[in-house]
Amino acid sequence: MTTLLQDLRYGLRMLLKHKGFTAVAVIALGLGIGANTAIFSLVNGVLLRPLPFPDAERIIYIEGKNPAAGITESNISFLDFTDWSQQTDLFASTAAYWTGTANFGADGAEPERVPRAGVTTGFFSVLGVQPVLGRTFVPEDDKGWPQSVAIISHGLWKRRFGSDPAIVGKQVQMSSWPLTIIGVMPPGFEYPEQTQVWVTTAANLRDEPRDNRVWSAIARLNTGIDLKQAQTRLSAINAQLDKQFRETNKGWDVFVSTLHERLVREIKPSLLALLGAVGFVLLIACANVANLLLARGAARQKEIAIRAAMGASRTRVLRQMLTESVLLSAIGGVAGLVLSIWLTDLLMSMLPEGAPRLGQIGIDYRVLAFALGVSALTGILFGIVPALQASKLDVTSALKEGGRSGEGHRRTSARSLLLIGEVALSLMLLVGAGLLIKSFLRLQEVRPGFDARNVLIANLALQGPKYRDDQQNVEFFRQLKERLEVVPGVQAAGGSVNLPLNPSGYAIGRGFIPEGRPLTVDEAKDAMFSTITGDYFRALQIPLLSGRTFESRDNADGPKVVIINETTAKRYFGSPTAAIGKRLSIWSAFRGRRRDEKFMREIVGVVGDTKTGSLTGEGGAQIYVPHAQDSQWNFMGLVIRTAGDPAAFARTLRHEVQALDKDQPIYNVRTMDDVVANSLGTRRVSMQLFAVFAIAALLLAAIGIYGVMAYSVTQRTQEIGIRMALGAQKSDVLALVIRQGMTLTLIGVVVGLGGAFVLTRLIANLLFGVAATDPLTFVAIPLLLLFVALVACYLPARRAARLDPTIALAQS
Amino acid sequence: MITLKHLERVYPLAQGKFFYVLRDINLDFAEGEFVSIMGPSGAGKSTLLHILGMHDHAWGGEYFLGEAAVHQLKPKARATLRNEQIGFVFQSYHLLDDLTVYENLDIPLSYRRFSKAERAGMVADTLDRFNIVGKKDLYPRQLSGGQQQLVGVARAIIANPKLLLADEPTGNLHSSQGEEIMALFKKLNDEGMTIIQVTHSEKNAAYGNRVIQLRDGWVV
Repeated sequence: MTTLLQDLRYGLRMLLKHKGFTAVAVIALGLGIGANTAIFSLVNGVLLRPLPFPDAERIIYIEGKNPAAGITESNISFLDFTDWSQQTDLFASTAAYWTGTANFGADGAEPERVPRAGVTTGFFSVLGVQPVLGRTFVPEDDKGWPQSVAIISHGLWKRRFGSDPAIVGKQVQMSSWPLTIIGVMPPGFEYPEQTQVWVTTAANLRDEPRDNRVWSAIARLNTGIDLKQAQTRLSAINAQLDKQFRETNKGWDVFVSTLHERLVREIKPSLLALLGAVGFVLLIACANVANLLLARGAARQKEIAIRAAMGASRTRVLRQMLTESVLLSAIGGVAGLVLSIWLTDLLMSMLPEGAPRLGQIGIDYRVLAFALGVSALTGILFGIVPALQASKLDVTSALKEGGRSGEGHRRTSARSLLLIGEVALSLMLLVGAGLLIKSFLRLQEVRPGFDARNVLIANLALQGPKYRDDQQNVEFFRQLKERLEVVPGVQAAGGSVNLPLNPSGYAIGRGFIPEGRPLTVDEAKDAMFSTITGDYFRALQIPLLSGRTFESRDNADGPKVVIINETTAKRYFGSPTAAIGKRLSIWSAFRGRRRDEKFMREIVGVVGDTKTGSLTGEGGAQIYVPHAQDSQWNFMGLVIRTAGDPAAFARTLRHEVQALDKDQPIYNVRTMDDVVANSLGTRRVSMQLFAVFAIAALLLAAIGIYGVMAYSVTQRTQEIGIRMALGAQKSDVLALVIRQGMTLTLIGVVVGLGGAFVLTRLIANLLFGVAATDPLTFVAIPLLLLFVALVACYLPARRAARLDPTIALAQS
Repeated sequence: MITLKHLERVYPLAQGKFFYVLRDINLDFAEGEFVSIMGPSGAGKSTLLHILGMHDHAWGGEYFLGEAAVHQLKPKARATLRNEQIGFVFQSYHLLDDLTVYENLDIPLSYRRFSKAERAGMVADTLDRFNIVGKKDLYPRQLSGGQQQLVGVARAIIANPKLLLADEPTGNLHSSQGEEIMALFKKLNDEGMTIIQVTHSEKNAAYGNRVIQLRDGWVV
C-alpha cells in the first residue's frame, strides 16, 4: 500500500512536471471517455434500464403480421385479442388499447389537446401500476360510448388541478362529453405515448368486425412462461382463426416481443452502431496516448535504467508505469464524466421528436460504473505497451549509451503497430460514416411525391354533439377551405385523413376489388386509403397524371368516384390512361362497423405516388375518395400551400378555424418541411454523430501518423545525416520518410478495409439505397485517408529533408 | 584537382559577433595526392573536410573541383558532382545499424543512377575486393571496430570516386586495426585515388605525401 501511494505520488509529480503532455493526453482521453459515456447514457436509458414496471420482462407486446400481404407490423383486431386473452395459463392479464388525442376541459377553462388512450380494464394490471389517488377501471366502468370515467396522469393533475387532493369524483369535459375522474396515476407514468388521460375503450363487441385491426395489445406472462411459448401458442390460435374466419383472418399471424424490446426496436440498431463507433474513437485516442507515452518512455530510459540498477524489479517498473497511465486516465475520466453531462443534453436535443424513453436518460450508477470502468480500462490499454517496453529495458546499454540503445527499435515497432491499428480503426469508422452519409444523401434525393416547400399542416378533429351528423363535418371542412383560399398568400387548401409521411401517426389501409372480380377477400387488393377534402392535390402539388381531380359535383348525391395513384393504375388497370373510367369497390371497416361499400366507384383520376409511411418505404397502392362521399370522418390533416413562409400562416389557420367554431382547437401545427426532416430524424442524428466521430478519428489518426513520423525522424536524424553524406538528396530523404509512413498507413488501410468489409454489415439495416460494401465508398474513403496520411507524413519528411548533414552527423 | 581560394567559414555569435572557423584558406590539391590535414582540436580540420565533401554549404570564397566552380553551383548540381567524384569515411564509421553489410554498401549506389543489376555487381566486386564476402549478411553490431571501418571505406569507394575524404578514419580503432586501414588507404592511393585525411597521428600522416597544418582556422 505504501509503495502504491509512493507510485501515485511520483506519478502525479511526473504528470505535473510535464504539463504539456498531461494536457494533451487528458484532453484526448476526456473527449474519448466523455463521448463514450454520453452515448452509453443513451444506451443505458433507452436499452438497458428496465421499464419502470414490476417484473417488466414479463410484459409483452402483441402485434399482427401478414407475410403473404407483405405486412410485417400491424395493430391487432379486438376480436382476435379476446380469443388470445382466454389463454389464462399463458397470461396473468391482458389488455387492449387505442391511442389518440382529445380536447380536455375543466372548470370552464379553455380546452387543451391532450394525448388520450382508451384501455381495457386489465391495462393497469398488466403494467402492474397502481394509482396514487382513487382507483383503476373495473369491468362495470366500460359501458360503451360515450365513456363516463377517466384516470389522469400525475402531470396533468399537478398542472391543471394544482395537485388537488379532492380530484377524485370531479367532473371534466373530454371532447365536450362529461367524465368523472376516478384516479390519478403515479409520477412519470404516461404509457402509452405520453398519455395524460385514460378512458375505457368503449368497444362494442357485437359490432366489432374481426378485421378492424386498429388495436394495440399488451399482456403479462404467467411465471414460468417464456416468449417462445407464448409465440407458439398464439400462432397456433391464429392458424385456427385463419381457417375459421377466412374472410377476415386469411394469412394473419401474430408476433410477440417484450414491451421493452418493442419500444426501442427502431432506435436500437442506431444506438448500438453509435456505441461501437464512439468506442473506436476511444481506441484511437488510446493508441495516440500510448504513442505519446512511448515517445516519453524513450526520454525516460535513463531514469528507468537507474531505478532498475537500484534494484527495481521488472514488475515494480511495470507497476510504476501502469500507475501513471491509470492516474492519467482517471483524470481523463473525471474530465470525460463532466463533459458527458453536457454531451448527453446535447445528444438529447438532437434526437428526433417521439424518440422512445428519453425520460429515462441520465447519469445513474450504471453510467458512473461505465465511466469508471472505461477509464481504468483505457489507462491499462494505452499504458500496457509503453509499460512493458520500459520494463524490458537493457539497463547496461541504456546507462552506457546515455539512453540511446537498441530499445529504440522495439519502441519504434510498437509505435508502428499502434499506428497501423489506429489507421485501421479510423478507416472502418470512416467507411461506416461514408456509407451513412451516402444513404442520407440518397434519402434526400427520394422524391416523396409531393412538394413540401411552403406547406403548413395541422390536425383538426371536430368534436361535440353537433358534429355527430356526418354532413356537418363535410360542410365544416368545405367552408374552411373556402375561407382559407381567399386569405391573401394562401394558394391552395385541403385536407386528408391520411397525410403523406404519416405526421398524424394515422394510417388507414383498405382493400379494393376491381369491377368484374368476385367480391371475396381473396380478390381484395391492399391499398392505403385517404378521404380528402378541398384542393388537397394542388395544396401538396401531387401531380395529376390523367383524368381529373375531385370537383363539387362529386358530392353525396353524385356518382361515386375514386382517384387512384400511378402504382395502382399500372398494377391493376394497365396504365394511368387506361384506368380512367374503370370501376372498383372498396372493402373496409371502420370504428367497429363494416363499411364495405356495396357499390362501385368510377376512377376519375390518376395521381402520382406519394410516400405514405416513411421516405424509405414504398408508397404502394393508394386510393382517394372525396369527403362528401365518405362523410364519416370528423378528423382531417389540414394542408395549406402558401406564397411565403408557411409557419407565418399558423395564426391565420387557427383564426379561420375558430371563426367557424371557436371550440375547435387545431394541433400539431407544423410545416411539411419539418415533417420531411423529422421523418429522417434518427438517420440524420446517426449520420451526423457517425460523421463527427469519423472526423475525430481521421484527425486523431493524422495526429498519430504525424507524431510517429516526427518521432521517427528525430530517432533517425543521424541515419538521415549519413545517408545525405553518402549522396542522398532532399528528394531521397523526403521519399524515405514518406515511404515509411505510407507503408504503415497502407498496411493499416488494408487491415481496415478487411474490418470494414465485416463490420459494415452490422449497420446494413441503417443504410438506404447503398450496399454495405458499396465499391465507391470502399475506394474513396481509403484514398481520402491516404491523402491525409500523406500530408501528415510530408511535414516531418520535409523537416528531415532540410536537415543539415554536418549537424546531423555531429549528433553521433 | 582541387583549388581553394580565400575560403572562409564563419559562425554567427550573439550580439552580432562572428566566430571564424576557417580564414582565408588558399590551397591546391593535385590529382593522385595523399594529403593529411593536421592540427589541434578546434583548428577547423573537420570543417574543411566537410566543405570539401560538400556537406557544408555555408562558406565563402572559391572552391574548384576539376573544371567545376563549386562555389557557383546550385545545391542540386553540387550534390550530383559530389556523388560522382567524392567518397567519405567517418571516424565513427556511421554504418546504418538496421542494414546488413551488403545493404550498407548498396546505399551510396542507390543514390546514384545505377541499375539494380549494376549495383549487385558492384557490391559483389567490393565485397570480394575487401575480402568481406563472408560478412555480407551481418549487421554492423556483429562486427569489430576495424571490420566496421573496413566496410565504411568500402562503402566510400564503391561508387568509384576520384577523391576520398577521411575524417580521422582510425580515431576509434586500436593500433593494429588502424594500421590495416592506413595500409588500405595507401594501396588505394597507389592505384590513383586522391585522398585527403584529417588525422591527429603523425604515424598515419606518414602514409601520405603532404601534410597541411591548420591552427585557429589558418593554414600555417
